[in-house]
Amino acid sequence: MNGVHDMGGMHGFGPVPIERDEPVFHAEWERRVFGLSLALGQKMRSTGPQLRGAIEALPPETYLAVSYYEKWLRSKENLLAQAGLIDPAELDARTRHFMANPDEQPVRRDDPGQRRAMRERLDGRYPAETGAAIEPAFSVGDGVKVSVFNPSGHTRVPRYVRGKAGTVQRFYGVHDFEDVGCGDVPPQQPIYSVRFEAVELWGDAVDGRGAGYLDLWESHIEPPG
Amino acid sequence: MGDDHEHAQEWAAVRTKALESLLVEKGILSSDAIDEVVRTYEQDIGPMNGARVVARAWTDPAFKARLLTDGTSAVEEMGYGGLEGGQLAVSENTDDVHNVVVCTLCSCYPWPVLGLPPTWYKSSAYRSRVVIEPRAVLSEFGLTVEEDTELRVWDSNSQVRYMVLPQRPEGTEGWTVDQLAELVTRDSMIGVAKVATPSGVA
Repeated sequence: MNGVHDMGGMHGFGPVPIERDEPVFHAEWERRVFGLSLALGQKMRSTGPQLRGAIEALPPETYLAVSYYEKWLRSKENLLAQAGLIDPAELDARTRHFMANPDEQPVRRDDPGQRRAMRERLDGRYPAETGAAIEPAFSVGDGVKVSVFNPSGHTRVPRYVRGKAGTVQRFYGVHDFEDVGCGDVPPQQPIYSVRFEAVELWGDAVDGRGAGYLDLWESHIEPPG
Repeated sequence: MGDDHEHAQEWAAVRTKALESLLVEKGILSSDAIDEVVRTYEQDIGPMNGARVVARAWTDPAFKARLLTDGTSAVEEMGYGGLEGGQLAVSENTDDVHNVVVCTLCSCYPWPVLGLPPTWYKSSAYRSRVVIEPRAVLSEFGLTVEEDTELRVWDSNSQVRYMVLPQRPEGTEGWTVDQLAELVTRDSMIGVAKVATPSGVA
């Protein structure tokens, strides 16, 4: 979708907020949001497109206003509500309860089986290539053009490369197609690393020699024409 | 920031407690499964993994060749792989080419070798600007990339994650892998810094 999350090339966000010696988490709630998000991912068998789509689906004003882990928190709430696992009214009531009782901590309940399953998930390997025998249509060195399209669902093609010309640099094997709502395209496709000269992407704005690289699925690109 | 920021933090903290308590009470999640995740990414997985990969590549040309051809298998030789690292590509800095990594759409990052991304990597400023004005962004990190050096910006998608192989600093001839790994910073493996020549070395 053409959302505010697709911010490559936008102006106005100011200097990069660099923090020296940054800790992994800045607060206990960030730890818990991160932990419960991965645990939920395991439990609900969530897919990448679902998780990313839920973050992108936050209202744009919210997306820009809240911190990274608060986006995780809000998107998980929405996914849990959609799955019928958490009733938003119950969550609001529980929130008021903890506001009124700031020293109270969430109840603890351990489950060795679930902990072990989580450990296995953390130790597992998840090859991105599907191994499907699909012959790539493009070869390294081919000139290509990115298709111009505006899907309403999750897509891995940022606006700044649509319609731009590039060169295939590398073939990364066959992967699941991760875009949502793109119509009739193969569910597994070759992925290519495509190089775009900086001047093709940004014209006069370039600040020196350079190029942008992006990995694109086969249905995202076409012959230069 | 200021009051608004504190207020947002307070709200998120309370909301998180509420969500966790409901998930645990309903038997959807166990507290110790959550603890396990947090401990893993706070203590076991982080940029020290990537630093060992870089140090080995600096000292073992055959490993370096494998790393640049098939990063996933090469780091697996050292036991690194897993969530958010299904496929890894490594881009080498040279005298003529400097590489920098971003995820403009969100926060894709090679977790098995670098751990979780720093806040600035996920910031709107970095994501929006590093593709269009990489030199200006890198200068904010204190890194100057000359105009005639080719600057490659890798916008990561979900499937392939990127790490930069920085240049080995001068004056480290004969150093061990462990000594070299100590020099390698997270920022140098994202491409917003170089590995500095150690102090006391000419």
